[in-house]
Amino acid sequence: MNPTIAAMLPPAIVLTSLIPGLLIFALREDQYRLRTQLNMAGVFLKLALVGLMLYGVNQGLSFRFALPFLPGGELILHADAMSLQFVALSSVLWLATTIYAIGYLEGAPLRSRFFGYFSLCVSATVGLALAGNLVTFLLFYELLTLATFPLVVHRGTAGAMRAGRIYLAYTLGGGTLLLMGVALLHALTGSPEFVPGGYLAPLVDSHRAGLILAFVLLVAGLGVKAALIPMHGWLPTAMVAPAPVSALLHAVAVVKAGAFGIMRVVYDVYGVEPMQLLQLTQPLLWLAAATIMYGSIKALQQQELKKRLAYSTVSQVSYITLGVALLGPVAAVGGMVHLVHQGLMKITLFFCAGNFAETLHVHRIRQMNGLGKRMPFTMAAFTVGALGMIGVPPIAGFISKWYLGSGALEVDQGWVIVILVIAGLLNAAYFLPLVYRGWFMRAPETWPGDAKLGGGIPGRRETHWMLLWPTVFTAVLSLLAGILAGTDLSPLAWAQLIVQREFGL
Amino acid sequence: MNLALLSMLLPLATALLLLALRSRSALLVILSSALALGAGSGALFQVVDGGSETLLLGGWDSPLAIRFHLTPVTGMLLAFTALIHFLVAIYAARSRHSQTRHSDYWPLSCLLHGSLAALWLSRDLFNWYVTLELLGLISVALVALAGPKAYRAALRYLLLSLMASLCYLLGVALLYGQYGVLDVGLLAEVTQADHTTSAALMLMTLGLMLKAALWPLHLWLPPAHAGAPTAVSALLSALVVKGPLFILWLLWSQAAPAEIGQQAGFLMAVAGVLALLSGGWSAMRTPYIKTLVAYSTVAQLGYALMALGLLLFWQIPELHVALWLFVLAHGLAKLSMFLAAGEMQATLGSRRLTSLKGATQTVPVAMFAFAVAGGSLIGLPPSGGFLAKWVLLQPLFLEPSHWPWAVGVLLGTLASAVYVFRVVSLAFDRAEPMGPNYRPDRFAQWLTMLPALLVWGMALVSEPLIEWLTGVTRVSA
Amino acid sequence: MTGLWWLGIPLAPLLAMPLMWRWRDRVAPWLWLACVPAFLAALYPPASHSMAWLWPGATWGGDDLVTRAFLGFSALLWACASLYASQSERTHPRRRRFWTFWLITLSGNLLLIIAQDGVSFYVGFTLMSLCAYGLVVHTGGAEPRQAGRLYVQLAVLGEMFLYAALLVRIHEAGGALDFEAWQTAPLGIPTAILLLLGFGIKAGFWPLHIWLPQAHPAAPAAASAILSGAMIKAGILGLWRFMPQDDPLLADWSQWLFAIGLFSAFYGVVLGILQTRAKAALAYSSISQIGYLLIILSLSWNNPGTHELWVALLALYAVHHGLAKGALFMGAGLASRHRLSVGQWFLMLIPALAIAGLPLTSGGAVKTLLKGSLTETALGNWLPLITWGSFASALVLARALWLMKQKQGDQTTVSRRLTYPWAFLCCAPLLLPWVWDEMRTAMLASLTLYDAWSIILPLVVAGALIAIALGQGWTIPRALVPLPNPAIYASLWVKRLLQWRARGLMVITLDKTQWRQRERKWNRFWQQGTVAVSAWLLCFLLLLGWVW
Repeated sequence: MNPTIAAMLPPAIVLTSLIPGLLIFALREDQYRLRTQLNMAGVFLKLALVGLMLYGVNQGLSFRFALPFLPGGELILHADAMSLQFVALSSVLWLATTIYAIGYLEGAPLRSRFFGYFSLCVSATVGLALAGNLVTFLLFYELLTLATFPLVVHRGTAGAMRAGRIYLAYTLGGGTLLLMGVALLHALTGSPEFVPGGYLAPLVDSHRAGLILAFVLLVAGLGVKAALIPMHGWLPTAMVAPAPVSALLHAVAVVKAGAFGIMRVVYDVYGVEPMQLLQLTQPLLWLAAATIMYGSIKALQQQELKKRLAYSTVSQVSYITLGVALLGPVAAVGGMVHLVHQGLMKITLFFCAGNFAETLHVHRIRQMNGLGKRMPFTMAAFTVGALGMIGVPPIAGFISKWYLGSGALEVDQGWVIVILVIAGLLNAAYFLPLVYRGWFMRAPETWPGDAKLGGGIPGRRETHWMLLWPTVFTAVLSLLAGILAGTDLSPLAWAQLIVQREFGL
Repeated sequence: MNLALLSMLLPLATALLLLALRSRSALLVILSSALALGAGSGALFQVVDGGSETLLLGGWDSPLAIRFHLTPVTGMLLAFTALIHFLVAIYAARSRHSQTRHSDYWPLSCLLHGSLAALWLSRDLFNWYVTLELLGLISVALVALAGPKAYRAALRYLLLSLMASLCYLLGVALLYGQYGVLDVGLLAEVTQADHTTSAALMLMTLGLMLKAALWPLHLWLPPAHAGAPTAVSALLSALVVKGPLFILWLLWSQAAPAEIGQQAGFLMAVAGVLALLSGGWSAMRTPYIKTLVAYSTVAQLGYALMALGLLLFWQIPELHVALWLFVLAHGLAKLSMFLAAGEMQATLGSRRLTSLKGATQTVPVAMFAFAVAGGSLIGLPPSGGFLAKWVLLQPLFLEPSHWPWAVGVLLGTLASAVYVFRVVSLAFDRAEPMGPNYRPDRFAQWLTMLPALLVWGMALVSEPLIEWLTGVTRVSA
Repeated sequence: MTGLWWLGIPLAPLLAMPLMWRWRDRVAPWLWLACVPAFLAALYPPASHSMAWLWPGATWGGDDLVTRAFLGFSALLWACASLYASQSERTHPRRRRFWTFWLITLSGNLLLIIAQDGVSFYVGFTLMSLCAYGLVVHTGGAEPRQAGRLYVQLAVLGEMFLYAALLVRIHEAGGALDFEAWQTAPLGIPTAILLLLGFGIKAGFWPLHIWLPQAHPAAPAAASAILSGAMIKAGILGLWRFMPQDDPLLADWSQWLFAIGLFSAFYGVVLGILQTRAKAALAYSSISQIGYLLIILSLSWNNPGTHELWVALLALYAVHHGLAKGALFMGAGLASRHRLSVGQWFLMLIPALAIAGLPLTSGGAVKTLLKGSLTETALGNWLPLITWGSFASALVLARALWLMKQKQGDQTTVSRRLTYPWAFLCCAPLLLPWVWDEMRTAMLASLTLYDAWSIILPLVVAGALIAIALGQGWTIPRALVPLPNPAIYASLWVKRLLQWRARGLMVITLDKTQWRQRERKWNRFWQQGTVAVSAWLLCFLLLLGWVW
């Protein structure tokens, strides 16, 4: 591939959503068609570019774009295996979410603003994934905060405002801590490009305290978005946002940004050996394990569907951190593949929750009785997502849990299995009742409401097609990611490629 | 040097012309400030290429002469002053809500510009006194333009400004009595760390701090800045407070003996941190839009003070860069913020923050400008504010013993985030939006956006900018 | 091609699913065809095939005796049950749901049998285990709901134990996933416990049987047949597959497992006799029979090196019991609605007697083989108990048949779709020895005079006892009829526990107004006296600077 083109590809991928986003801001509310076209053009262009890049990276090509920014810290966008996994995930889910959002917001006010920020949010996510060093990462991390805030408060109600304020308080606080951490490391060595194995090994002896403090700051900053306790508080309250936003926040953009950042910091900044020398892994592991437990227990106590899903996210995202903190290649595969798998499954669940809420005004778990009869497709998708979260094979979640568990045994941390088992039981305890209600309980005489979307006939026309098909699409993807995990195209194969490169196997 | 002089004299001449003609022609002011901007930029380029230049007024030799010194920093400040004045002038002329369109604002602002330019060029304690006095009086007059409601604040400003001048003058007199010279360059060679010197420096410093509204002597600033007409607030916050800061910087980094500087630097840095906190707190609590912005100035000046203090305390030259980056970034951001705040307040018809509910619909561009400028104040990358903070943070993290200072920066950042997003989140509140009293003015709104974009645009040239500043602040001063 | 064939086995039911959704009532009678690929593979097994493009390490296949036997009888049983269910559930309003779960369960069951690696087995096992819930609660109402709850709670618990066991086992085998590699990997104590618990819950031997007598009777007849006939065997198969043959740890534990098996065999009988519903009695009989399978496993572990013998016995016993118990459950379903003819009752006697061990049937063959093999081991002195196990089985099955007869329905016309599959299964114990070589060998070997006598005697005694009981009109003591069931209460308690809602933590409320007042006062102080305060501050700072 022509080197200039190769260098321009990463910024092009960022721009494919940024430019449509900025153009959309300028559109009037009634320019529905143009807005949709812009959105879809951006989506497909990005997918095409990402596909090209996936092919290239698989072939061992490098895509790197750099701008001077700070002394010792350029603005670098580059594509390696790890970043591409996240980019591919966000691009694919952006496709699903965009279609879903168009359907979801049909007729709602302020759509230009919504889709504008929506595209910005994806640009920030993709930029963050492609960031080639900590400074660039920081930049996109903050932009992501700014771009998501208007989405969280989109409804503009008192509840939304409260959630938005809490969201900001947490994420800006986290962003500041991250800034401090990045600045600290920058003061010590500058911000060189991420390299497998990290670049801090020479400093371990001379700057022990500095590295530990920097790690604490970085993890605290990233942990806010990754919803590690006690920094998870924003996540459940941010549930007031419209469903596509919750889906995006929980599955792709925000929480994943945090988890991805932790991955980057552990593997590409600190490196495995310095992590062990500095004794940083155990605390991170405990934190992740505690978060998994806490999130599950809290999820069990929620009576609102979206809240339950939110706490489930708190718990599930920490699996990624757990995999990272175990510091073994197999566990790393587990963590990385869960990044994708959790995204697919959780976005499915949120789409489903949105469908229930939009179509039948079902918000609470009590109201879910008999949904399977009225909305079989959505309920089936929900079931796939829920069972996947529990770790039921052959859905994607099982593959992650398998590798996580094996990875834990590989590095002699058998107790992690106990955590995984208990978390699995708790997962089952808070998801299976929903599935049960949906399929086995009698439907009420009248639903809390009926928006008469799509015709209201169980089956293909149970709700608006733009709400239904993205849901089915992601559900099928999460099933396929599990069933076809052995193929070269699966997230698992890609995660193994990443780990091979990261661990130099 | 000629271009620099031109950049100083043009606004002065315009002011005289306006007074003489009894004209209130906005166009003339815009034109002259544009020319001054051109001249200032020319001077900047010249000095970057050819190095610093000195001009001895009246042809006398030093120690008697009045010395004008054009360094890269001065050149930069000249251009910066002209730029801001230019932008404010356009706003003042063009905005429907400008309270200053047909007032004495025009000659006064030109005078302000001229005396500031003189301040940047001077390197002489007494000359500075003159320019400071001028600045103070003009500022008070400008504040008073807002009408009787602002008289009280203006009067306080006047009194304190005079008090500050007195202090400063006393200090100057002491130094003169001790060493017999007033030129900074000459003083640098002779000063010794004795009681008289430190007393003199202290008097001057307190005077300057009072003028620059550095914590804890900032009490006059919020009512004055908030009460002034929008264009004036922008000028005062973006430019005027920087004048005394410039003098402080030169005084301490050049003239003062290093031992005294170290002690004073610590106190200044502490004051800076406290300014961040107390200014931030007040901004978080105040119910008025412009007061919030004014308190944010108090807080942001804390960064500058902290940079200056630590610079003296540790003698780390990178902090010069941080200081001037702060000045630039804060000037642009605050300009945008004040203009946006004024525009929104006038359009929505209330000074209260709560009137901003739903501002993302009613005055979207101005609100966006406010948010963008606020982002720079918080220090979100890749804005100018971020660059400044980044450069400030680097030395703070060099050694574990420096780390506690970073906590100050951290808290300051959080506080600024809170007060900026306090406004922004209100703007998204669609529950009961305020209807605007007037049809929003798109041009004025976009005008408020311009400086905000400029401050974020600093990121585009960040690396050369930082390196250039590192180079010039080391040699120049 | 072979890969495609193996793939087709679990896939066939899944492919049938969309057809069933589209043309529900027209497709249902033909769903039994989904078992055909599996049955053919059991008869003519193609070579194993690696399916690594599914999840990593997946290998499907198996031409060994156990795989073929399990595959064959499961396919047969499922096919018959499908046919039966297509008639019995014909008018149920939620039959689409029933068939969906049915087909996934079938797919999982077949998959776990043909799996040659741990993960594939686990995949199939989980699919089967969880989807069977849909079958258990299909009838609707309080009792199936409670039974289903208990079932699913334990199933999920079992899944998690298995998940852990799977991981540990993979680890012990150094990352290998295939069962062959596992045969040489030594077993750790935690792994063994996890495996016994995980598979034991499914297999349902004492004391892990608690869900079984609830769930099996609650399900519709066809589903009970599957649950008791095919699915609990999966637990035994799992133990067999996951545990290495010649392992010192298992050899140590095998006596205890033998004891548990033996206890289960009689416990099931005693409890079974106390039941007042036919299907419950049959379910307890399943517990008892699973005890025998556990005995076979434990004997195999107890006698390293005699692997071949026990494999054959395990396969024979599983096939025999699977088909016979399936027939009985279906028969119970039939009898509950229809008035059966005398011929049909005789037909029903065949599987019952076969389970009790009548010579010439598959039951007689396997019982004799078991006893013969047992005598040659160190545990040979327990032989009499096995012998009298036949007596006990006969009693509980007699009780079950009697209950069926007592509570039979009154419809006289019976659809052929119900009777034919059932009748076929009823005849299976008689037919098996003639179509299956291994079974024939065993059957012929059981026909020596001594062996025949030793299994007929308990049956005769049992027959006499039954005759007396019927003649005297013995009834179950009233105190024992509604046996308290702690399992259901425990299940309910768990449900409540999970629904427990934490109260809000102590909320600290500040008196905001008071603080606001103070703040106002403070602000006013600084604002009112700006000049004076600034002046004082200036003086103070001068002083401070001087002192500093």
